[in-house]
Amino acid sequence: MPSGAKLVVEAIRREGVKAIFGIPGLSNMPIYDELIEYLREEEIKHILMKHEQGAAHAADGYARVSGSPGVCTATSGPGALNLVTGLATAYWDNSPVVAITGQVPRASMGRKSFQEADVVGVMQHIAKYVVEIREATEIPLWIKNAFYIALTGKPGPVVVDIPRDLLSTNVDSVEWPEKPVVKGYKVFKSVINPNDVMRAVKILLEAEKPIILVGAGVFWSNASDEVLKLSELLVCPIVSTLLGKAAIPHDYPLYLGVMGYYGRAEANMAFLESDVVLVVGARLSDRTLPSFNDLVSSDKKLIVVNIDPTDVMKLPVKVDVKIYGDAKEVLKMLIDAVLGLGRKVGRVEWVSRVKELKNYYSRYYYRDDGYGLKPWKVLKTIRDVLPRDAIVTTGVGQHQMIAMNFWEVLEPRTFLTSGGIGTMGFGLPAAIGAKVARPDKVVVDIDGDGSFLMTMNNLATTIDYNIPVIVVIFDNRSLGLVRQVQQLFFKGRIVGVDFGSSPDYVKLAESFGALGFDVSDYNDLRKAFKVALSEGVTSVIRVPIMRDEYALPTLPPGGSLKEVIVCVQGKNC
Amino acid sequence: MFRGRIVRVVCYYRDASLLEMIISTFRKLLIDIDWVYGRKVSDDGLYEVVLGVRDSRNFKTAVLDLSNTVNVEVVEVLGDSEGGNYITNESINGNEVVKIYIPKTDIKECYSWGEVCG
Repeated sequence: MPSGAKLVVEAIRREGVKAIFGIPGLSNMPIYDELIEYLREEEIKHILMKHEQGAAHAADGYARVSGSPGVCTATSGPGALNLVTGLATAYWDNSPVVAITGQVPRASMGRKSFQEADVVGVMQHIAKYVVEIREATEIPLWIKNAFYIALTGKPGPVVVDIPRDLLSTNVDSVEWPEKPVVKGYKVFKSVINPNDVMRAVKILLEAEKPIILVGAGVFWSNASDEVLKLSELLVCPIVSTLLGKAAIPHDYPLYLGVMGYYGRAEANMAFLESDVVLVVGARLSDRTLPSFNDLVSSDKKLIVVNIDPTDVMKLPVKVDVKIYGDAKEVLKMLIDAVLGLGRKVGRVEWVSRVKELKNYYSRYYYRDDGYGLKPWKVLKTIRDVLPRDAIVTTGVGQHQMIAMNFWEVLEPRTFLTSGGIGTMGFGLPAAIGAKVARPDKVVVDIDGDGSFLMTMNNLATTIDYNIPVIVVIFDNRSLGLVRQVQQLFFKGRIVGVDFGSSPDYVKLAESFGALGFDVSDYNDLRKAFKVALSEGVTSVIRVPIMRDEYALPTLPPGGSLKEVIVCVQGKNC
Repeated sequence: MFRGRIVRVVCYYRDASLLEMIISTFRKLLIDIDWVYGRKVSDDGLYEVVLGVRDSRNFKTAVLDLSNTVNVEVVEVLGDSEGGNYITNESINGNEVVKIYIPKTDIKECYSWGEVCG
């Protein structure tokens, strides 16, 4: 008779899980006990993270790279609660993660028992779904349901909370479900009306200045090829959201970059000047479109493709054509419709204007006054030494905004960042997850010092499990983005953001068994990367960045895209 | 006649977190709830929960969010016609201890996982 814990592990194996990121404790220990056989047989890997937040981010990174749900586990109380930030990050970015948490025995509940926490109460607001298991016999079905909910519709994290006594309960007869059964859950219907497709195509063909805004939906539906094909056919420039960036190879000549709050000025301007916008898989968040007045005040036509109709229903602007369906499927239909009509467009003027915008703003971006290392040049140096398919993760802060604008993604699914909720500390554990999913790829965490310090304890995991990642720390001894906002919009009243001289990142790296590099110029950086790549050991490369470097462009708080700030007097103006 | 908005949520009960999720969907959007009642509709766990909530600019967002919540089958926005009834229980020393307003309603619109009716 298998125990509840055995059912958990077997159910996970049946879902095709190859890796679990987690930390054992009293309440999930029975699961670990059953896991031993699977580890010995090398059917499943376990990666011991150094904090549960890291476990959730690693599972998230794994999911974003592989497209399959990432799995993490934690014990009850503090273990489970430590998952919260990581799961919220996955929820905001629609990443399929399944978290299995141990819970105190049912008889102990409600007494402030040791390591007791109301996981359902806490998690239900930051996850797609949370289920508390009531009987051990339910475990096979609910593990299957969890994977189904996590991966279908709009993906997201699902938490399965299991009281410890149920993990130890033996089950007489086990029913392995063939299909999930979740009452009151439906996958969004992809019912694409051919008339809507044709209307959209006609609007796009008749447009003078159309633009495609690519969101994370293109990433999740693997629709990069389709969006490029449509752009080529329509001679239509592309801008993206931060998460959509990962879907577009940046050497595609009509890609202008990420638009929005810290987005590239030419992307914002092209968006503003366009007469038709085709939004694919983006919800037009406040980061992408800080003010809807930019849409309301224009007479541009809006075509929106989204798997979730409620995202479109929430938009406070008129949408001319709404197409509800999977991005890949819809884009294929749009392509067929364009080809079917056989009309060709030139759009010489629009393409020329877009190039003009690109060239105009470039003169603000690519400056080097010889005063310290320039972040854009650091990224260019790294790009030059990495293979096209290297995977890059980031933390959150100034370095993230700089990577958003100046890191060149050359292959889809190779750029992972916390775009929705903006979680500092995402970079390193997400890189671990990415490397576990794709051990054949080079994985680099481009991080800030503030962000790195939040989850850097997971360096130990990369050494213990031979998961070699390269961490590049943009070290400005400051919480740079907050500092920048204080400087620009709080009258230069700098408070609570500057770090002292601690730590020494080289010694820190070495203490974990990683290689440590302190670079002082671009050549040093190149050399450090060459060693890191050839040694195949986790490496930490500290890149000193001046504290007063800004992440530009930016907008004033709550500002319009029209108010984009590309330079600051006395700096790059 | 109730001067707020009336919402009927048809949902499957797994545990009492269902009620928390429904209520918190409004709470998270700063919408106050004036009254709520619910009942089991079928033996397979189908329930209906009816809420009277204050009108708010966030009302539509709350309804749409709720309509995409796991275990929620459909969310109906009800129109409150004239002629709702109060059921009162005056069982203790003639004092009114329970007062439930049962609105007379019709469905104005409904939402279920991206599908719209009404």
